[in-house]
Amino acid sequence: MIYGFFPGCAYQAAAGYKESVDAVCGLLGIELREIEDWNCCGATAAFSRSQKEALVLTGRLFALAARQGFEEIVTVCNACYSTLKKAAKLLDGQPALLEQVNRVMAAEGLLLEHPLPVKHLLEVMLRDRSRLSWPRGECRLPEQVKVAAYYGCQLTRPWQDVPRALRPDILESLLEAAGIEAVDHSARTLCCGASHAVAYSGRCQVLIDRIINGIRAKGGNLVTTVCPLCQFNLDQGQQGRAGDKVPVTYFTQVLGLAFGLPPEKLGLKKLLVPLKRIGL
Amino acid sequence: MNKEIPRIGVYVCHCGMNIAPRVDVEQVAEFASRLDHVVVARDYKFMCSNPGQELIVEDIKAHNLNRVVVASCSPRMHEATFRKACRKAGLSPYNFQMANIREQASWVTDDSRLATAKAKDLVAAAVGRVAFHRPLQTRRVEVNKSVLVIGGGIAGIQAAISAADAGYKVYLVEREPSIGGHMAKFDKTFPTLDCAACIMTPKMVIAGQHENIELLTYSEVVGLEGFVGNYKARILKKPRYVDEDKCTGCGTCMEKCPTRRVPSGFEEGLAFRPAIYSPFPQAVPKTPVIDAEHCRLLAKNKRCGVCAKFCEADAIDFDQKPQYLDLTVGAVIVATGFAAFDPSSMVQYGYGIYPEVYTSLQFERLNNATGPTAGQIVMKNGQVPRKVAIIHCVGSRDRNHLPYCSRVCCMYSLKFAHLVREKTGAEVWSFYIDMRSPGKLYEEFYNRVQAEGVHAVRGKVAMVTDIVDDPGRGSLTVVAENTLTGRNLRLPVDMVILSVGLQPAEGAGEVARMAGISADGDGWFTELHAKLAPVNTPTAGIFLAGCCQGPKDIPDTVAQAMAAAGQATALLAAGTVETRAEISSIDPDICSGCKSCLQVCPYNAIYFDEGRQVAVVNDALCQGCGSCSATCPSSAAAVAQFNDSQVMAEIDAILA
Amino acid sequence: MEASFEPKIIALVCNWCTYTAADLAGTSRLKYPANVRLVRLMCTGMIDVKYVIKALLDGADGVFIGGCHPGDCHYINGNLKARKRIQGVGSILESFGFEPQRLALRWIGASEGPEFAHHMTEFVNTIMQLGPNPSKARMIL
Repeated sequence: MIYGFFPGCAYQAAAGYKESVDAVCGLLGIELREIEDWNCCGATAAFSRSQKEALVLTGRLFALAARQGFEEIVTVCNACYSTLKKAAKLLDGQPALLEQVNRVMAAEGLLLEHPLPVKHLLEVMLRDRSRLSWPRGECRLPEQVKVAAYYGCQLTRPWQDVPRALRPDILESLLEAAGIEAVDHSARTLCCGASHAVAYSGRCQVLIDRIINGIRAKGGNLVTTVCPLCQFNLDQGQQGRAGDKVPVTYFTQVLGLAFGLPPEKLGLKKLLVPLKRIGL
Repeated sequence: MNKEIPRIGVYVCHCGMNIAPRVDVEQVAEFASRLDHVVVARDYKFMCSNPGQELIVEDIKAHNLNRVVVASCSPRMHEATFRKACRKAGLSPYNFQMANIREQASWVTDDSRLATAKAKDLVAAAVGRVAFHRPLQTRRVEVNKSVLVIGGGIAGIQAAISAADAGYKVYLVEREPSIGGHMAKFDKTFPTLDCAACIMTPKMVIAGQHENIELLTYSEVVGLEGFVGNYKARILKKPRYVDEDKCTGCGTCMEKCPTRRVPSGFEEGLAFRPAIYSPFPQAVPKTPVIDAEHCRLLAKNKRCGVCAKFCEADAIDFDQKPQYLDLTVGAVIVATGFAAFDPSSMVQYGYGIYPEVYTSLQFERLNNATGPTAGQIVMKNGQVPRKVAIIHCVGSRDRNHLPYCSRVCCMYSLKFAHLVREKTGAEVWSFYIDMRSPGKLYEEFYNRVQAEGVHAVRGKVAMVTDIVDDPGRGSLTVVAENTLTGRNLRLPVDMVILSVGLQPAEGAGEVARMAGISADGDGWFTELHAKLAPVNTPTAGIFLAGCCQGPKDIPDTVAQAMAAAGQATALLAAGTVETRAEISSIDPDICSGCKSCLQVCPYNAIYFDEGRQVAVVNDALCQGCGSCSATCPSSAAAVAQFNDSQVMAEIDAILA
Repeated sequence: MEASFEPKIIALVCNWCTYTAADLAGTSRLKYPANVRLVRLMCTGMIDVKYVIKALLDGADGVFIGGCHPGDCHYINGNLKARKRIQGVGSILESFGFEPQRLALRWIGASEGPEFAHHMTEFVNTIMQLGPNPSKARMIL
């Protein structure tokens, strides 16, 4: 199946995200076709500076995707996801804003009629599972690995479009579909502080420790995330910790392992807290 | 058309400063004086006052008026007042029409010119239609001298006792095995801290033993039709599988029943009960019921019957079937109460996820001497909590859940705070949005609880989590912002109590539909008038008591129950009621016998006279909805006061 | 068209819900355009289609019908009968030379004062855009 894909700026450089997404999608029969000539979504920063500019950045993405014939945009990053959703809600509800954006984009010959639905890869995998070539074999992840799903804060906020948004379980459902029983824990949507990782690293550390401790308290020994910012922040944020570090992966890396894909194809070596801590 | 020539008097009210000066009342009166058939038109400061009404009475006599129009407020407010004035002057009260120039003109229009123009149109419309009014006949019909009370909580119990004490037969219907409702679950009541059982149990016993009260527990109203004075109710008596006449209430069956672990609804899931059970020790009646879903014999068809073997009174009857009972009553008091908001949907508070998060009703049971812990406030591990958080407004004042204030939660939360302090000495943290304590001695109670050292934090709790920064200081963390200091708070606690809001009882909508009463957007039953008819409904003979009309505390509930009983017994005491005049009739000279009206009548109030081959309205059943008149292809059916010539005249006058 | 068009709108409303909502709008002092004239009926189910046609033929710029939400009818289901009837009359309005938007049916519960004011404003705006009832022009001819 072909999906209109918005990779976002952090994806390519993220530790093994692209490798594992490519490997897993290849296996499942998902073709992520990039939006041609895509630009940065602007994330929170653009909206903080100027709503109009932010809407042009995002509006352009919608227009490009629509021109390519896509009916929805798939992202792999929580920040892209929430930024695009925010833009879609504004542009849908206020024709004046849409007109403003179109006036700017006219220079480029682009016209946006309406924004497209925005989905995380996690959501489409779960939604379209029956139409994908989902492996039937046994889960290859060793039993000693206790996976804790971590959503971060931006996937479910502020609109709560994801079911049970304050204690979501769609990632758990996806893991279960791959034969993984995830740990039941309460840190799922706690903010990791990624946006402030540089400016307020001390305050960030408290948040990171709370998440890792919360997961460890419930027996988790591997975190899996759906966002490059979460992954990086939780991974690097444990560097100061003593012996009780927990590897932080992408959900596609864990799926890949469960499906029995070769580890070297999943970019696992790029993780800062190494997987060998848990015998992988 | 009327034979007499209309002579109309028009009265334009200033309503003090409410209609005038926004509407130029003098101009409106002057305008009215030039309308067809208008003999006299005046404006006056307060038409509803005695002198105002006298003005009408005198004019009717002096000017020989045969029609009256008052332009003032909504007819829902004062139509009855002015009709009475007409009657006093010897004029049919139905030769009267109101123009609503306050709610529909002066109060909703800024521009004085437009408001005045609108008022003129509305007056013209009333004058236009009143010319076609004619005196209507009503009959008096006997009122059945009994009352049906739906719901056996404190509201229903009190209403039943009050009506029974007045000498009327009362049927008290309760769907649970015992009367008592929510109040029977409580331990103490605010602000006096009376023991709920001590004040409730005697009432239950009185209701159970009153010679005029027939208790119908484990029963539901499944049908209600008829009209004021003559309601027909159908009651479903669910099978108890225990013969009420034989059972002595000894309780042996409950001790012997081998099925022991059915979560108890009365104990809010904190304890278990057997399959044959009486919900609580003071239940009225004492007769237990067999829960067919969990009974080994009834549900699983196993050879059991232990209860029957041990019953010395031979009261167990596994062959009982549902029974239907048809009652005729003169009045109905609806007292279906409330349901506690289920906080499972607010996952951020962790109810159903973390074992030490309780709802308020669970806490009532935890604190109750007859509850699962015999009144000890302890955690699931048996230990006494050291720190307890109470979260106010759970579900309430929240546009995602219940948009309204549930009124009782602040006060019962303060009661909880006091009880926790008194019984355990634990630190208590109360998180509130606004502390609401309006009521006699309520503010004093708040002050007292504050003085007892309860921490009150103004802030809506963001979440309750089992992620704790220091495992030694409590198993849960309450995360909130103290909005008075602007500081974020992560409070370690052992126990969290969610002060859940109130919502209409399950099945309330069904009761409303049967009784023909309406509910507001939140599902609470609507009273006839928010201030002046708080226990009446738009359906005559049906009254409201207690929380079914909106959240209220026990004193207000009891007061309203007594008021509802007062209204119901006043109706019964009058002996007869006047039938409604605004009903349909079918002109037999015009009716072509097509029977279209029979199909649309929602009350089966139209029958077909085979002899004359015409449809006939049964005026005892007709409610005047006009489905027939709008359907009748030959315009033979018409609702009095809303016939074609009257409505058309109104439209004509507006568009003239 | 006149310089300042003040449409006149007939609102046929149910006593139990929309009329009460209008009262509530009044007691709440909500402001809405003064173009609406309420005709109180006991139920939308008693609205004969000839009332609608007559109002439009006699020059009303719009006819608004306000009833109880489905399921809330004081007379069980009069509102649903009204809906059927109004859909019928709506479909033939054009043959009379009226834009179908000149007729609106809305459910407004007794507690919905703000919704009442909102619907009035919205309907008046619709009529303002449509302009005066075309039959007025014909009458002048």
